[in-house]
Amino acid sequence: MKMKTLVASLALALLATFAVQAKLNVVATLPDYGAIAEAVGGDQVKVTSLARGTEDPHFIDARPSYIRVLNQADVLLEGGAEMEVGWLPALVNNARNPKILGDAPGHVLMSQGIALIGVPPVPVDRSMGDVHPAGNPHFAHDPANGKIMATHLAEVFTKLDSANGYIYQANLKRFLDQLDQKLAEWTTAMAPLRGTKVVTYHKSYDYFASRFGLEIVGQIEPKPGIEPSPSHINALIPRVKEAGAKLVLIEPNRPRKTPQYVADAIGAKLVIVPGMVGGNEKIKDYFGLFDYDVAQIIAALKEQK
Amino acid sequence: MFGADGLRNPGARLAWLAPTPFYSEFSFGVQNSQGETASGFRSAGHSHGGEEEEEGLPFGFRHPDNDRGVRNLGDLLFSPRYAVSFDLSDTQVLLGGVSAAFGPNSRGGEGAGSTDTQIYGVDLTWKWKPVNHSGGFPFVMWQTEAMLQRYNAGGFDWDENGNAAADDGELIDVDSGLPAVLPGETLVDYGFYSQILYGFRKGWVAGLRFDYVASDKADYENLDLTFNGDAVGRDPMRATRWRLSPNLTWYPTEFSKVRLQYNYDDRDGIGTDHSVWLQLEFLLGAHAAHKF
Repeated sequence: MKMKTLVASLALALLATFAVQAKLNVVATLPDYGAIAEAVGGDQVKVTSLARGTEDPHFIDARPSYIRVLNQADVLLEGGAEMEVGWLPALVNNARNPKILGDAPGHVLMSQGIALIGVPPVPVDRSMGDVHPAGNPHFAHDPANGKIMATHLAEVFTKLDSANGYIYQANLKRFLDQLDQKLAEWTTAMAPLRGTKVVTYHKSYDYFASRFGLEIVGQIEPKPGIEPSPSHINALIPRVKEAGAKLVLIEPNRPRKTPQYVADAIGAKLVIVPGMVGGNEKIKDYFGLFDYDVAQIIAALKEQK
Repeated sequence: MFGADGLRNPGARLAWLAPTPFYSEFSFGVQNSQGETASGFRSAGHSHGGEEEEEGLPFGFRHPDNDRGVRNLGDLLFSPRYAVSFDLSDTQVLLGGVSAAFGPNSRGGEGAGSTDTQIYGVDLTWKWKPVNHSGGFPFVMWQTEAMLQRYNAGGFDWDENGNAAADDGELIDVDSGLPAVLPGETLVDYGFYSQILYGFRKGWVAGLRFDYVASDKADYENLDLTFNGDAVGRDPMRATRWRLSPNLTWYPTEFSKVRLQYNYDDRDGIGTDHSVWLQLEFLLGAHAAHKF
């Protein structure tokens, strides 16, 4: 009897699996890619993001459960600028899923069509720290790049699920229209702040800063991925003070002590600026990320004055 | 059981990812059972009495055809494993597994027949990492593994020169005054380790590890034997032993580590030892996180 129940529930589980597979099963390495995929895919896709918005995307634990998730994926969205190189390749190799390998249409590099900034002068070597040879991988933090990513995803989804292509195109149009409108709002709101000097923890705000006209004058990290040393901090403080830095921007997961010390020393305001969707519970989608970050920066600068 | 270098003889492995909602994987390995990295199987490629003497004498004796390589399926080493993992929460992951290794050994005198080894293991890893980690820190990881080995040792007649008299370099049975004739028997050894690691700030990991190994006393250890005039009792290689090791590791970069470790080591029949180790390790070339 028990055996029958087990067989029945297994069968049900299998049926449920097939029912879900009617939707495109999309796995995103980062929640930003996942958020855009949800906007473009709508009800036709099931999106799973591996990293959470609160995590350090360079150091995601390669959980065995992710192997199973990737094994079932129809589409894998990865950055393509090596941010996930420390944890994703082993997972993908173990997932044994040809749909997301190499040139398969389900293997999507989100940076495709985006001009990456900070491409280091060749050759790259270890003395530069954890520098990314392909360029700065934090490109999703510029809403204008969101348009390129969404357009790319609509193409991919249409190719893989042509019957629903018209839906993806309609979703894309709605997303782009809303993003254009939002981008105009954010740009207007940030306009009075153009030229504000800021210090950042990591080179993760370069895209955001360049979009909204903030000027980055220094980093808490001496080199990307390298912990701040007292000598670096002691050299940084007079330099950014002289430059007139008003804000110190850090992600929610960064240690506070050193950035706070720097902010106090130069008379700047420390402000927590999430870099990804889900960076806190208020940021539920791609628009939410910039709504929140723009508001944080404006509020911090008001307080600072 | 696996020696200092682990079980890593040449071979192949086939793995199957089961279609379960959670991670569940079966794997099956096939390896050559002969070689230095197949300790517990046909390792140490020479027989007793040869030019090279194996460590662990007087009980290390092997039949001379140990060097036969792989002639048939019976000369291979098989290692099945099943691993399963669950995400307990957003911050906790559990990974468990059961493994075994089966293969021939060459323990015993000429004509001892085929003898084999079976090793069984269970392991469990639990890891906690907060959702707002930075650079992969902080984290707590607990890892434990238990193993049991059944080692089939063939009989061995120590009268190697065949003169039926006690000579130097032979194991002597005190009762008869003649070279010992050891019975074929199955030796049972077991042990476990458990360790907890705490990555308390970026690049710094504190750990505590406990090791324990023991064995069932074997028939040959109950015999009244002497070797070159000295009494032989419990096999020192199989006596109960435990060790407690606190350690602190610093990773200045992803390429290097510096570890300070203290060991309190207690061995039955030998006593306690204290040791302090300073380990420096560095790596050149490509590694997991970067291609340069």
